[in-house]
Amino acid sequence: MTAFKKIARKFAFSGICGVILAIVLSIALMPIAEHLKLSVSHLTHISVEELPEFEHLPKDGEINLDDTGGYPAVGEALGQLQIDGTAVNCTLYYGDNEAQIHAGAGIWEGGKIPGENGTVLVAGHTNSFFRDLESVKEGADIFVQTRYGEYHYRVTDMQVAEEDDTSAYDLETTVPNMILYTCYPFGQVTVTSQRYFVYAEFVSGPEIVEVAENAAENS
Amino acid sequence: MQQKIAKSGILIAMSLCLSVIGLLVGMLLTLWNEGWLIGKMEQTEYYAVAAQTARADCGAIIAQSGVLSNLVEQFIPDDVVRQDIILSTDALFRNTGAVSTSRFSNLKTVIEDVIYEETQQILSEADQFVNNAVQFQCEQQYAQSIKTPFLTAISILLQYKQISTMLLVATLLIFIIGAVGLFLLSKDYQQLLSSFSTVLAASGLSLFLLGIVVFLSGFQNWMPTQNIECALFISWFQGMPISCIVIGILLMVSAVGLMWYAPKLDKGAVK
Repeated sequence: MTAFKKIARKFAFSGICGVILAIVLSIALMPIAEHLKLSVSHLTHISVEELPEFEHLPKDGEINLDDTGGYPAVGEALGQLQIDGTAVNCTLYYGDNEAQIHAGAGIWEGGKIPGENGTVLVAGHTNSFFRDLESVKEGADIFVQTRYGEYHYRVTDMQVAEEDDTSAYDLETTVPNMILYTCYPFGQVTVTSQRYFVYAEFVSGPEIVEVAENAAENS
Repeated sequence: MQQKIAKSGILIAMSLCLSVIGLLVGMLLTLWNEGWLIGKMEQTEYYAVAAQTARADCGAIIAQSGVLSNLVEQFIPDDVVRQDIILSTDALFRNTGAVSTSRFSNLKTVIEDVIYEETQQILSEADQFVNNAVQFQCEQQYAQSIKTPFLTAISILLQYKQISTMLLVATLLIFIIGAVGLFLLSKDYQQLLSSFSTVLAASGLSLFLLGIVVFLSGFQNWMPTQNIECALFISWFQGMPISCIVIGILLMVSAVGLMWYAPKLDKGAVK
């Protein structure tokens, strides 16, 4: 075989190998790229003069969810969650499965949604959207813009607790409130049994009426 | 025939390992490197814009207290904002916890003094209550302003850095085992070097193509607003494809070098 043919065969093997490896690496990196894209695809800084996109939404009174698309379905992007003084500013989904908290924060379906009387339980990953939950201070404002209204909560307390410590949260109360939680320590990659809880009291927002039937269908 | 198949398998495995090693090294030099982000913030003048925004936001809050003078400059000059952003970034990369600054800890007192100077009036209890809220809101707004830009994206990437050391060691190990296998399967040093040049060429090309693919992925349009944060993100993130392309070119040049050098060796038997 001539030297030229040898070199050509070597280049052909390297070339085909290189292209296949590039495809393999690209496919392997695609989920990370999607995750990154989701995380930067919303504004990360809101100035005091910048009005929320949903300024036309009701901030008090009563609303009927049937007038605004009905009770949310699992996986639905309910709105936007933002905590003052932190970098937590992400899409809020109904449902807290991996698909939802991979893309933002997720509301537990067994609890309430903003506007209902009871606890809104919100989960987020400690190494992405809820990484900055550690910066939350008592008295910080939490704003939730949903498709049916704008809600304001205020942080009252924070604590670290074990994941199976049922005294860390009250899901039976009828007082409207919000609990956000994430894995602890912050940024943890490996499995951990600890959770960081942030408790917030309801300040303002429209009350959902005529929801009993809808909630029963969706629970 | 079996030897050829085994040799091809080893070449492919070694090429994959070297590509992964190259990618990890590129990431360690750029996206996983705190110095890279800090350098990009300097280059894009992010600090100046962040300081300006922080002063505008906090100034608007302070104005609610009725103060006419511009107080905000004395609390958060440019160099203080820069220092706080760097501290915040450092804490994130080292996972040492949130940075607390309290830059406005005596804002309330200063407002009261300034208003007295301007109006000769002592504030009522209601005004003092407002000033408490002003101070708190300024701290909150400032804390948001000094946060590491695109914090969530960086947190997502840093979680993978935690397993990079393990992955680097594992791929190096497999690469070395593959090299030993090639050594045993090669009949002379020329063939051995020729095999190594194949590995270098394949992994170099894969990294080069990966860099091109990332550039073409459209990351330049991921952020919704074309502001300073977007410019910084593009400048910071493009470090990854650039490092892949550079490392890929270096590997391909090494492959050509080895291919040129191999025939000059005596056909000494490997074993």
